[in-house]
Amino acid sequence: MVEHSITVDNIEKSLQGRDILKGVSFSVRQGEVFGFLGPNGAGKTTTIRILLGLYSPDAGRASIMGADVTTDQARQRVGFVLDDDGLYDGASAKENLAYFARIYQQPVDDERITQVLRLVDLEGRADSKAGTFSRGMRQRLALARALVHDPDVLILDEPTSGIDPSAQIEIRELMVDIAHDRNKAVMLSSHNMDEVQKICARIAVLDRGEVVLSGSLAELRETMGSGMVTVRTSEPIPADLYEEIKSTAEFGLQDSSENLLHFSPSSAGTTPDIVAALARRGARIEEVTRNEASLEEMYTSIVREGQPA
Amino acid sequence: MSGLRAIIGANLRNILQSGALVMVFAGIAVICAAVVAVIAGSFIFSPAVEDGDTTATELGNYLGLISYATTVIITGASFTVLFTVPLLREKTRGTLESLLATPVSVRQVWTARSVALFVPGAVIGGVLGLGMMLFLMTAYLSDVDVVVNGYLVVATFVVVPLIYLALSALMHLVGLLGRVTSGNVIAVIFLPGFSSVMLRLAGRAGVDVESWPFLTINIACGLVLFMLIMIFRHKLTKERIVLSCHS
Repeated sequence: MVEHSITVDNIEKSLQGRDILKGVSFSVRQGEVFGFLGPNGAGKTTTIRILLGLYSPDAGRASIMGADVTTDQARQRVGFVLDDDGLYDGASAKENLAYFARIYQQPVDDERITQVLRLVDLEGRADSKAGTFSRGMRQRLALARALVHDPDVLILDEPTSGIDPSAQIEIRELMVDIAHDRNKAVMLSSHNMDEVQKICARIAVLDRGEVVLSGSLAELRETMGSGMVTVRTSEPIPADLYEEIKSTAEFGLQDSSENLLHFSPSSAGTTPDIVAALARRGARIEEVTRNEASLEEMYTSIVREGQPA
Repeated sequence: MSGLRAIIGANLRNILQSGALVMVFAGIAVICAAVVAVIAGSFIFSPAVEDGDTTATELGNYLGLISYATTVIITGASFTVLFTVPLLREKTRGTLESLLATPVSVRQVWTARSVALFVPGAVIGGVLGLGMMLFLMTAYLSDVDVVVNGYLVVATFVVVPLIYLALSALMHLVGLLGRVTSGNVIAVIFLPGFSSVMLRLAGRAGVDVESWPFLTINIACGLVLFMLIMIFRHKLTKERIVLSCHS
């Protein structure tokens, strides 16, 4: 039993004289949805292509279920949905799946194909040509194709892009079911922060070919700061206290009015220190509220600054 | 092996799915065959049979060359018509990239595509070439002796298909690694050049078609294509193909 379903260890890759990946490392566990984020050109697709054996890394190693990604053994255990769905328009949903089952050396089993189509709610369209499907249906069929050989790992590149919100929710629920109920590792590359925040247990943020942040959402908040903390006092804050609080960098005082102080502390553990410092100097605290930073805020902060704050 | 068969089948379906292209090819094939049949019958066999000076061997040579020309032209036409659109579609719609991300090898994909392009043209070219031979024999040469030229038969139905299979492999090598149109350029340059040179050599008695020289030149053409494939095949990697899909 391997510890991680996907392991990427210090991968480097240059393409056409440009350094695309500069030592990327991360891992994905069985049964989790892992978010892979980054702006356009960060190297996400290159990483995915390396994991699918389409590109060979210049340095470092990547493996799927313990097998090097350059081997057929690794490719046999991974299912994928790429940016272009890669379906044959002239073939029916069933034929598309049967074709890929044959490619993966699986018996072309009608029952299995029907079961996978049922999973993505396309059982009733089994004999319709893929060319007649809407974008959402095509994405669901691509997901079915990724599952037809019962892989251990799913790699999904923007599976919900360009589809309507209800179809997005269906695909999102499907990804969670696949990871949790079927105990598969799902690596999700997405620009949709809301989606990633909702379904991913852990994430990695890639920027300019480097992983600039990785971990669970809670760990990221710990690293990036806990969001905004607002302290309301019943009386105006004395000027000397204000100056003292302002000079303590870790409190991260952002803004203030007569009896309101807005902080962006450097870590979640700093909030009690802020309250204690104010109380010690006699400030009459009426209310303390904390708004946790969203993934989008953290992501924007990383990508804008180039590194974690 | 079942994977290779599946890919060949999918590629054939992809080619034949382009109904308009298949109709264009079928139209070209029928027109070519009809024109060759009329010209051969009216201007070669009828006068030759009426004169009575032409030997059975000479009639067999004419017949063999007409069948050879039909096969070469019609198979070649299928390459120029059916190569570009299906490959371009696979490269731009992600089907090729998806296929390469599975356990199939790049050689399997290349072989399957080459065979899939070769089959429709070779089958129709071969059938029409053979049909032309039988039609002319029954329509114009039923009352005279004809000695069928074995060298031309081998050239037409064995060597020419192998040349075209090699040409298909070379076109796909170039088309997969670079622009699809570059692969088509090979066909556009090779086919008229090859067919006109071979027919001129044979038709003007530049080369003896009754023994091994004509057959040998055909085999040499096939070997040249085969050597080009051997020289450049190491360049065919998944990475290069995927990069060419997105360039």
